[in-house]
Amino acid sequence: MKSSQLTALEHDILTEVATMGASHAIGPISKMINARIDIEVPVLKLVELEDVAELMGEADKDMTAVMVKIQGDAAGTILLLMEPRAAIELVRPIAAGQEAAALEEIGNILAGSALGALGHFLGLTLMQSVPGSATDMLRAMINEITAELGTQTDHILVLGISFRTTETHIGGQLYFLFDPNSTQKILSASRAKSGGQ
Amino acid sequence: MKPKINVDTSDFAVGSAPQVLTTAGIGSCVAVCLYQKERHIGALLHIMLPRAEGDHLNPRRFADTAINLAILELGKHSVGPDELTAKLVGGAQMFKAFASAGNIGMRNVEEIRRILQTIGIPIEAEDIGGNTGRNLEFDLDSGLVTIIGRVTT
Repeated sequence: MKSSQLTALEHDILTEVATMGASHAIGPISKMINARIDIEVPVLKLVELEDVAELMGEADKDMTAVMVKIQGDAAGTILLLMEPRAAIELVRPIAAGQEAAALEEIGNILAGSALGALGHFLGLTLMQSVPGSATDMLRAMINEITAELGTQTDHILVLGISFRTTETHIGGQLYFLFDPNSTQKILSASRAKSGGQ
Repeated sequence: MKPKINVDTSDFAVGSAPQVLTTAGIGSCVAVCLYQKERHIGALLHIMLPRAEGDHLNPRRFADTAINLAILELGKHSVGPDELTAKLVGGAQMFKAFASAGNIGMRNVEEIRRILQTIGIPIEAEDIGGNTGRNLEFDLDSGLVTIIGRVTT
């Protein structure tokens, strides 16, 4: 990607890809925690590496993050971001006392479901790393994630989807982060799929 | 209150007493504090990565280019590299699950140590590694670097 802008068509394609990934990811999670989850329309932005933390919230605040690296045909990260208290509330009913492990398992399942669906749709091989989790300063966590994607680029594609449990209103954000090369691969795979627009 | 100058990620600032240079949310990044003791002039760098693997990238993000730029800037205040000492803070691994010898935090630290040694800037103190984020304040009056860790709840 030469410019730091996306065309309207690229924007639409990526929004659709993110929606598909998120809806496949949310289903199994909903089952696991036995609660209905509503998701919002994805927000898509191409931002400078250094601005990703601010885009996601108050960068100096503590947040709970669960991350899974995307490997294979595209390089990126799937990130589940929640207020620490909300993260605990989300998994307490199924894993009291083992919240961190349960959150990592959620990361594992949602990455598997999202990447399975996306890989199949795009005809790309997308693999996932083991999940990792931390509760710490948002900026400190996000900069580690963007650093991995940022040796060759100034910009990162951030696809963000807000979710909330229908009954209990426990909310959070699901993010897909891709470097420009991977964004291009996803775009060309989508175009090929939809008949080479 | 001493005047504070905040340094963002992938940036640096040069200042002098009574200023205090600050930076927040240091995870796998490394903050480099360069100090000229006699004249109370210093620089604070918030470095994200060891080196660039492409062209035309933000030079303040990478250890080699950021340190060179900061030393050039200090030179404008007639401070030579041979008058400086350094303190390093950061280089953590925020997500323990990915701990490995090749983690970004330690690669940053190692590259910065190598560069400083090549230039001939001695490292006076380090607070590196671990699994938590750090904030810091660098008081240019005293050269004192104060690290504020996360308050565990």
